Amino acid sequence: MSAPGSTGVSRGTAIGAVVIGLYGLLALASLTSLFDSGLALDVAARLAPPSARHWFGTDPLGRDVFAMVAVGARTSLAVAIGAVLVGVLAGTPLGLIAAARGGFTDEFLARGNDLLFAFPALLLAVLLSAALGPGALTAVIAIGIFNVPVFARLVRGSARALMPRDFVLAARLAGRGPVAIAFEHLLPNLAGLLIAQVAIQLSLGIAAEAGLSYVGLGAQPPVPSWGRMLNDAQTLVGSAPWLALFPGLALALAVLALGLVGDGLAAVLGGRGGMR
Amino acid sequence: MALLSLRGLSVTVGDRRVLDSIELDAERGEILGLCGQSGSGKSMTALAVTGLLPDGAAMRGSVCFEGAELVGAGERELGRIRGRGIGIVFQEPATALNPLMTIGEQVAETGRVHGTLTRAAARRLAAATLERVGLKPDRVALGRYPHELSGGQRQRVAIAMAIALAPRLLIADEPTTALDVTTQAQILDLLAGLVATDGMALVLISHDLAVAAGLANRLAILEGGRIVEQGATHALLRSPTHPYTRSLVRDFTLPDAIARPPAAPPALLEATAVVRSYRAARTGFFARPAQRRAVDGVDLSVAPGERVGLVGESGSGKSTLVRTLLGLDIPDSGTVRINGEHFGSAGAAGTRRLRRLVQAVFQDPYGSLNPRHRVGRIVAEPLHLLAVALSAVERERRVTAALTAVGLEPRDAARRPHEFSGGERQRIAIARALVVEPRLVILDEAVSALDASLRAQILSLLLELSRSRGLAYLFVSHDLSVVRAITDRTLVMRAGVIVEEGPTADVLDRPRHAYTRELVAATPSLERALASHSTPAIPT
Repeated sequence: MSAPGSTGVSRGTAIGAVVIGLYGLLALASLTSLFDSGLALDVAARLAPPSARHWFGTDPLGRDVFAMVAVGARTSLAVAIGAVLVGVLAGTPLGLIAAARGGFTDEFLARGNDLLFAFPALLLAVLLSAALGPGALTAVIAIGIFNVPVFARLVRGSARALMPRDFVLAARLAGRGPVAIAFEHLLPNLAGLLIAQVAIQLSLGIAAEAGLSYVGLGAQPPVPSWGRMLNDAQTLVGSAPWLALFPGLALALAVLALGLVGDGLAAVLGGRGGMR
Repeated sequence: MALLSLRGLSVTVGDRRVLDSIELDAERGEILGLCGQSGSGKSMTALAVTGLLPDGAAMRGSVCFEGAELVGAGERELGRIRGRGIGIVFQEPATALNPLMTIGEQVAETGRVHGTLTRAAARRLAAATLERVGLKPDRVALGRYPHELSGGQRQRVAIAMAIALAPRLLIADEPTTALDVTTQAQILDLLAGLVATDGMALVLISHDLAVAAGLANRLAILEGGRIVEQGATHALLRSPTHPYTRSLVRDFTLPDAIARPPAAPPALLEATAVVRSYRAARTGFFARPAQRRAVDGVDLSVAPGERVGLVGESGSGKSTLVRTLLGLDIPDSGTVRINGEHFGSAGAAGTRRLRRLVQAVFQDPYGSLNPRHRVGRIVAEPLHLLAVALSAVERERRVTAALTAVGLEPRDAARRPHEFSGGERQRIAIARALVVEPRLVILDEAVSALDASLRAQILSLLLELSRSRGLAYLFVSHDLSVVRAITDRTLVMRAGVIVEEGPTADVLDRPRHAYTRELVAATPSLERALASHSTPAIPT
C-alpha cells in the first residue's frame, strides 16, 4: 500500500543527492589538470592558513589542501565504487542462486557467507597487503569482500520471500529453471532494494577506505587520500588545524550524504522492491 | 426515531467523492445489510459512522446516533461512543487482535478503557462475554493467545470485544469473508442470535449478496458511493427496480452447468493413492516431529474435455494436491500420470512435454503476474516449454491469439499488469495458461478473489473456452455455487481425503456424506435466503 505522497523523496535524501553530485563533479574535475598546480610543491607557501588563494590552507610541503581534498574525493569514490561493484557482482548471484535452488546449495552458501562476515575488513586488508602490497586495489578487494555477504544476504532474504508467490510458481509451470527464475523474475523485483543498499554500502566503503589509508593500507603516496591526510595532520593539529579539519569534514559529509540517500531510497524503493 | 440515521452524508478523499448523499436508517433489533462491489463505499460508510475515516477525508451531512450528531464531534466524544455505543467487527480477525495479549485481557481491556470497571469486574465481564460468543472458559481458556485459536475462534473473540459493553449498534464489516463456509455459517448464526437477544441494531457489510440476504431484514445496495436502492430484503431481491441491483442479483444466481454424458476413459490426468505429508511442529524438545498427512491417499482422474470440481475448505489439502498434480511437488507415495506418463519419467524434456498438456491459473490475480514484466512477455513465458524455439513473429501470433481468446486486445501485450483491473489480470493469467494450447487447465480458486459480476464473466469465458477447444478443467474451489455452475463431476475433500465423488448435481443436491451435507447447508444461497424471508421478523 502506498499512501499518497510517499512516491516523493524526502528533503534529506534530496540534499544528500545534491552533495553526492558535487563530490562526483569534484572527483571528475580532479581528472583534469585543474588541480595540478595546487598539488605542486611550493615550500615558500608552506602551512599557510585558509585564505582567498588557498581556500583550505596549505600543508607542510606547500600543497593546496583544497586540491588534495578534491583528489582525495576521487580516490575515496573510486575505491568505494569498486568495492560495491565487487559486492554486487559476486553477492547478488550467490544470493539469487541460494534462494532459487534452496536445499543444500542454500545452506552451503549461507554458511560460507557467515564465514566471510566474520572477518573484519581491516583484518582482510592487512592479510591482503601482506600478499599484494598495500594500495588502492588492495583496499577495493578487502572492502569488496566485506560487501559480498551483505548483498548476498539481502538478495537471498528478499528473493526467498518472493519464491512462494504465484508468479514464481507460474514461471516454474512455464518450464523455467532456477537460473531463469532468479534473473528474470526475482532480480527485477529486487532492483529497488539493491539500489538503496548500494548507496548505504558506498557510504560505509568511503569510511572504510579512510580507515585503511589512515593506517597506511590504502592508496599510497603521492596519491592523496582523506585518511592519510588525517594521519599526516596528527602532529600539526595544534598549529595547523585546517590540515585535519577539511579532510575530516569532507569525509563526514560524504558518509552522511550517502547514508541519507540510502535511507531515502530504501524508504521509497524498498517497500515496492518485492511487492506488486 | 431511528437509532442511527445518516442524512445527506458525503465523504471526499482529496478530489474524489467516495460517498455521495447517503441516506440510511437503522432501527433497534434490525439487521441492515450493506451490499456492493469492492470500492462501492460500503466500508467507507462504516468508517464515517465511527469517525475512523482516513486522514485527508472530508465529511459533510449528518450522522445521528441516539439523537447525538457525530459529524464534527470531538475525538473524545467519538471515542466514548465507539465501544460503548457502537461496536465494530472487521474482516480479518488475525490483524484485529493484539498478538501479544491473551484473549481474556483483550476483551477485559475494552471494559476497562470504556467502562471504568475494576480489574476483577473486567475479567468477569470478559469471561461472560466470551462465553456468550461460544468460547466457554473451560474449553478455550482466557489465557490463550490469538495465534493458538482458529480463524473462526479469533473472529468470535473480536465479536466479544465489540459486544462486551452491550453497544446499541454493532457494525460488522465483512466479518466472515476470511472464513470457511462452515465457520461462516456459525459466525452468522452467532451474530443473528446476539441481535435477537440484545435487541441491538446490526449493520452487516458484505460483498456477498447471499450472505447479506440470509441475515438482513433490510438491504441497501451501494454503487460508486451512492445507495442505488434500499428496502426490505425480500421485496428488494424479488423485484429489484434499479438496473444495478438487477445485474447484481443475476450475477449471484449462476446458472447450473448443463448436464453432459460422463466422459469416457482413458483419463488425461490420473492420480492414484497420492500421499504427501509434512513435518508438524515438535511437541517437545526430545519429541519426534509428527508427520502430518496433508494429502492422504487421493485417487482422482480427469478425462479429456471433462470439467471436474474439487471442493474443500482451507486446510483440506487441496492446494498441496494441486501442487503434486502440477509436478511442482513430489508425492511421498502414489503416482500422478498425465496421458499415461508421470513427471520425472523422462527427465527435463519429459517434464516440459507434460507441462504443455497441463497448465494452471492461480487465485490471486495480483500475485500471479510478475509486476515488472509486460503482458506480452508474461503470456509468452510458457512457450519455453516448446521443444523448438519459435520465431519472434510466430511467438507474437500465439500471444495475440491467446489474448484475443480471453477477450483482451492484441495491443495489451505492451502494457504492464498494474494497468489492468483484477478481472482483466485474471484474463491475462488464463491467456498465459492457454498459450501452449494445453488439454487440461487446473484452476486453483481462480475466481475466488473476484467480485460477483467479474466472477460471472470469467466463468462464462471459461465455459466458452472449454466448449470451443475441448479443454478439460480441474476446478478447485471452496465455493459450491461456482463449482455447480461449471463442472460435470465433483469431488469433496476433507483432511486430505476425498470423502465423496459423483456427478455435480448429485453431490450437491443429494449429498451422501455428512460433511458434504454440512458444506451444502452452510453455503449461503440467494434462493434459500428468499424462501425463508417471506415474513421478515422485526421486533418492536
